[in-house]
Amino acid sequence: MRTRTNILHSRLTLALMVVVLLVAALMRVYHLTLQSLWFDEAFAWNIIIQPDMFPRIAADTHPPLYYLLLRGWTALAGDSPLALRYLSTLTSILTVALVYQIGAELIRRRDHLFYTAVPVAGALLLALTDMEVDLAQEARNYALYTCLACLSMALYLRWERRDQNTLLSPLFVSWIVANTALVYTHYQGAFIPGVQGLHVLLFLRGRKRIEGIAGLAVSGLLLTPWMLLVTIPQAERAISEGIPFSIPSNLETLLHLRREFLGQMWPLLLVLLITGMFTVNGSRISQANVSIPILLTISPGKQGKNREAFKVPLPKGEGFRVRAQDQVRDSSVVTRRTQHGSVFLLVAWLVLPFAVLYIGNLYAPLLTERKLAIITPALALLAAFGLANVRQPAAGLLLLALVIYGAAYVDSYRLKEPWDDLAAEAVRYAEPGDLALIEMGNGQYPMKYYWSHQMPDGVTLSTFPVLGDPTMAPTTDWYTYYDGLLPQQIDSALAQNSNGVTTAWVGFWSKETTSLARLEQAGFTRTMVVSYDHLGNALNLYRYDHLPENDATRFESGMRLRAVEIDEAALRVDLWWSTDVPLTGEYVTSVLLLDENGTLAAQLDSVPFQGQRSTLTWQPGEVMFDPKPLQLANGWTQLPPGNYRVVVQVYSFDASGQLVKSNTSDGAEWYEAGTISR
Amino acid sequence: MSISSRGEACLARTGVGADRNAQPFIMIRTKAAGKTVQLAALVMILLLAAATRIRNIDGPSLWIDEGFTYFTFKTDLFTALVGDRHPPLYFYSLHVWESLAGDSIFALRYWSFLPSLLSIAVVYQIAREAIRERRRENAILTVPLVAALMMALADGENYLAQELRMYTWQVLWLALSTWFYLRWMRKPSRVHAALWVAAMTGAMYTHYFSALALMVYGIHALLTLPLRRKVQAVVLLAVVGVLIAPWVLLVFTQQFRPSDACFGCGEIMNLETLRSFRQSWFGQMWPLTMLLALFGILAVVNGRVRLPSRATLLIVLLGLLPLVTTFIVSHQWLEFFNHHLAQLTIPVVVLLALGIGNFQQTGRLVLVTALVLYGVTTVDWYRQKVPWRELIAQFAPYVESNHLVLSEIGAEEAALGYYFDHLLPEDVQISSFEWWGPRDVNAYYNQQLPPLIAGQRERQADSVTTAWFVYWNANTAMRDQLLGNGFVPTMTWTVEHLGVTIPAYRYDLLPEEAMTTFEGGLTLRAAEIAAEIDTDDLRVDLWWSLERSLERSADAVPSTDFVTKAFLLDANGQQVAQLDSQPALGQRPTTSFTAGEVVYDPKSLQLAEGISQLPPGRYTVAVQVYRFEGGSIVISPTADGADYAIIGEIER
Repeated sequence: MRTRTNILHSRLTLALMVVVLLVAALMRVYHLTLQSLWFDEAFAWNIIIQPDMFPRIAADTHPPLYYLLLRGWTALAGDSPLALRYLSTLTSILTVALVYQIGAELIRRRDHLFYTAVPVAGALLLALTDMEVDLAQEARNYALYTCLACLSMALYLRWERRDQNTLLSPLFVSWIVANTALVYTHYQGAFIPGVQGLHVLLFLRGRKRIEGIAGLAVSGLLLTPWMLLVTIPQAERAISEGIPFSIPSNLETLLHLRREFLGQMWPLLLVLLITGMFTVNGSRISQANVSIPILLTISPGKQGKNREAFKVPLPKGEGFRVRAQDQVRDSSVVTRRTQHGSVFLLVAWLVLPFAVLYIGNLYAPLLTERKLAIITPALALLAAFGLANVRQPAAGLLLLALVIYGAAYVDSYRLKEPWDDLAAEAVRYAEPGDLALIEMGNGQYPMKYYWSHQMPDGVTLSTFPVLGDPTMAPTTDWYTYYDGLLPQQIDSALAQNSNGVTTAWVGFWSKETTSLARLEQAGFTRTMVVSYDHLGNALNLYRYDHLPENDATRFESGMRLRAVEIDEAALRVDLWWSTDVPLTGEYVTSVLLLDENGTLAAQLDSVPFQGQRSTLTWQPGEVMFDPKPLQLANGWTQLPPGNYRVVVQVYSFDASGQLVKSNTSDGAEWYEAGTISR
Repeated sequence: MSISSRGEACLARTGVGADRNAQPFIMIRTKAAGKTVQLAALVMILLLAAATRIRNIDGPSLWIDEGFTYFTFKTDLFTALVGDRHPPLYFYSLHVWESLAGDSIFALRYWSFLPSLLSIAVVYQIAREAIRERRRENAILTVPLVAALMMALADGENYLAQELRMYTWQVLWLALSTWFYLRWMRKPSRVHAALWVAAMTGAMYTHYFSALALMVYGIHALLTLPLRRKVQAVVLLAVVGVLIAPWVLLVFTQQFRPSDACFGCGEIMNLETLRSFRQSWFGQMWPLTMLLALFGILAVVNGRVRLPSRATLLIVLLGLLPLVTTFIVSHQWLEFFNHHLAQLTIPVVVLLALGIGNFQQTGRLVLVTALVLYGVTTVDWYRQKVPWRELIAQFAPYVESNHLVLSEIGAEEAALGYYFDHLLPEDVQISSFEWWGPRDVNAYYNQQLPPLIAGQRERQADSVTTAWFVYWNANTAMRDQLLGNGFVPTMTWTVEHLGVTIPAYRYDLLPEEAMTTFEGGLTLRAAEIAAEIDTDDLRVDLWWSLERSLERSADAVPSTDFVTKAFLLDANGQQVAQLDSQPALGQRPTTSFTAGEVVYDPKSLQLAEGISQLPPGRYTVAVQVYRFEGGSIVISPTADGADYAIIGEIER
């Protein structure tokens, strides 16, 4: 029967956890789509859109579960960046809740105050952990990996606590499934069953030990087919080719990881982590038979008193199971073993992945920050136990300090390449029939994502798929692509636009320049360059155009109007300019829309290419793309029906500020580019 | 466990409790043991503080402010102080100290180190006074020690202890005055009153910003003391006012002329400044340290929270009032850096200690460990100073007593001056626009500088005349005058400072006629034998130029990277010493020469036994130029077809 105190306690816990989960959700959802998808995320997306994704998974270094889940998820939620990332966000929030469960399991027999405080504090600290927040905003398997690690540990602890021999109980089966799913999500997830296996061998006895070993063995068996068929070739390839983004094992990396995982408050967190491995001044209840982290009890000589403590009635609510007093006396050895075992679980959870990855990294490129993300729950829980040891009011103040810090600073954050912005620059001007080439190494996947979602229908997307991508090109052979497929695609685009300007967009961030050479060989000229800076690197977007042989007109200034195209739908006039000699004046190019009476209906005057390509910077032979989107206060649709003339003129200002028009070679004030009807 | 309760426990264990007469004896022993532990701990803290403060104390070069302090040694002190904005006590005391300890950087900065160390002991006493009021007997041992420890680790104090400035003295005086005020408040006596007045007067004669603390004492006395004591406090503060009146009346109005309210060197208080202050006093772990300081305002006694005591109120006011006052007045006329408010360190560390003292033992241990770990691994208050010493040390070996040394580096000139005075030959002529002097720009550039350069030009009409020029300024007047007098830059030494390259140039006025031209186009414009053979420091200075640039190409055959060689031949034509290198200490390969440029190329001739060990006799000094071709040396003959050019003889 639950006492009133226990009911109040449960409600308080629930309320606190709701707040913690709301904080976790807020931290994870805030600015979820602020940054572009980056290589890893777009790579995941590219796998799930493949008709047969298993060959692509086998070519990668990860197991399949996340991709399967993501594919199912996108079938329901779509594949927008928000939807892709939201799966990680949800699992990360679930991780926070699971950390509470693990904390509750570990501190089960302590007094009410700590029973509530430690698991909630652990959950709160994880909610604020920057590494976890960052991974919760990525369409990758790391958030799920941590989540399943926590699920496995929570189920294991629960199974371990229960006495009944339930080899096929739902709990036991769930634990096996969780472990299997964990390793099927990320191979480094094997650390968790590894830690559990050590715990089983060192701290469990009798039938429980045999059951534990059996459970782990079953998980292993379930993994075996995949391991044999896929993992071993993946590992061999990874070792021979290296894993991208791995960091070296050295002091610099240790300092970097310290910042990533502990932040600027690392001295406090470090001390709390160490304190969390002990129970200081253990209370009477704290030495009961439960999972309490005690390596060292700094209040010796209280054994007799502790035994006496069991004479007082203890709360009997959920989670409090008191053994019969006669069992307690006999079970003191078991108690200590259990307590030590629970500390071992957390410490091993923290140390084993770190040590193996850090040391193993000396032999194979294994270490990345995100692979270590699996230790964040252990960090949060140990810090929470450390807080519990310092007692009130210090614990509250320290927690407040950590919360303020967590809310005010970001210590782990990946600054992603602005692929979305770069892609949008092309999307703004792209038209059906254009060719879109990606020559960006790993950037091909995010560019492919954005262009395939945003480019108008009829734009042909092409890239050389280094890692294989049947949706882009049915080959991974360099010659087949650059000497066969690409020239065919270029010729096809040219054939579609034989009368006008043919455009090819190139996203370029590579040493591979063959696609540019192929375009130039086909008579294309670079007419526009947009660069975005990413950590000192220029991400480029090139526009290449195949222009008609004859100029539309020439102006007295020396400017050649190479071509004009009118996009009626967008009410935009595209101009292409060049010059044979360097220009000495600053010229303004102007597009006017005149009605049948010659009255001005719309106009745009600017230095070419949106003010960015002053005529003073033009080099002889260079061609400048100069789009002029015409704007009307009331919109194009508000113009009276009729025919409208589009004219192009060029002018400059003399020293006195007077406008000086540059006539065409025919002596006209402007060039008649065409007519549009409304 | 408190001292008394420990004593009782001890009595109980030994069974002495039955004898009531024995109890005081035991307690005295316990107290004595506690004091010994306290003392030992305090000594350890002071040793830690000494180590962190003394480490690399003379490493960084002097900077602008320290340069002014050094400037006071080179001019009339009183006149210098009138032109400055600080009171005199520190400067006069430093002059006395310098006469005893010398003027090395270590000795001069040591005068700031000492008070910084003493402040720790005084802060210990302040915290002791503050905790005494709280009746936290179990914290009375901890809090003062933690305060001392925090003071020892305070980055501001550590930084200022290595500065040739008065700030650590100001902190010491204010720490003393706070301690004496607290003692006077608790035990009014004439001695305490006199000590308080003396410390306040010392603080005021050290830095004017100490007035902010005096204001705090006055407000605190008016708020918390009984009427009679209020009157006494006001009288004592008035006495301080009378004691500083002579100096204020004498120079204050001259020091603070409205026309030059600021040198344009400080900061206006704004949110950004407050953030930088937060970083300076609370570090990167500011959420923790600020909460601790706030928590220190309250007293937790037996689990109950009490409002601030009188002593705590004083500590809080010492922190808040100077900050708020400066924040307000800075918008009117004051501009300052964080070191001007160095006095804030005292309340910050005491409040931190009081905050930690509010916790139980484990909490204290965790916090102190974390703060110590942070304190010894991180620096939040530091100024990266221009490495003047490194710059001067690079070219000092080439400066001779008949050279002219100029600098144009703004307010840093006095700091640079220290290294000129200590690293260059004694009688070298040094000149720069004196930033801390009368600052008459026209008088210096139009009247003082031109005859100086012209005089140097005429000094050695028949040989090479040299001027050195350290330059970090937008003003080009000095350089223009050098160029206008025919001097040309022949070599550059540089140091990096925060991404900026600061150069020092050698300018030479060369004879019009070149000595010879070697095959390949390398012209020996001039050569000098720079030192005596007896000193083991025989250097041959060469000046090279090219009529046209040599091609720099890996494929060029033959390679045009020439090696220049200076060597010594004895009377038998036997080579006895030599140095072969690319010009300018290997820094200027001949392919980097531009047409018309002159490159200075010093060659220090070396001999395993030392040049001075050569047998007496006449020696010929010669210069040769060669290049490598196909792994073989190809000598470039002189215009006369000789393998080398003789530039002089020396006698040993």
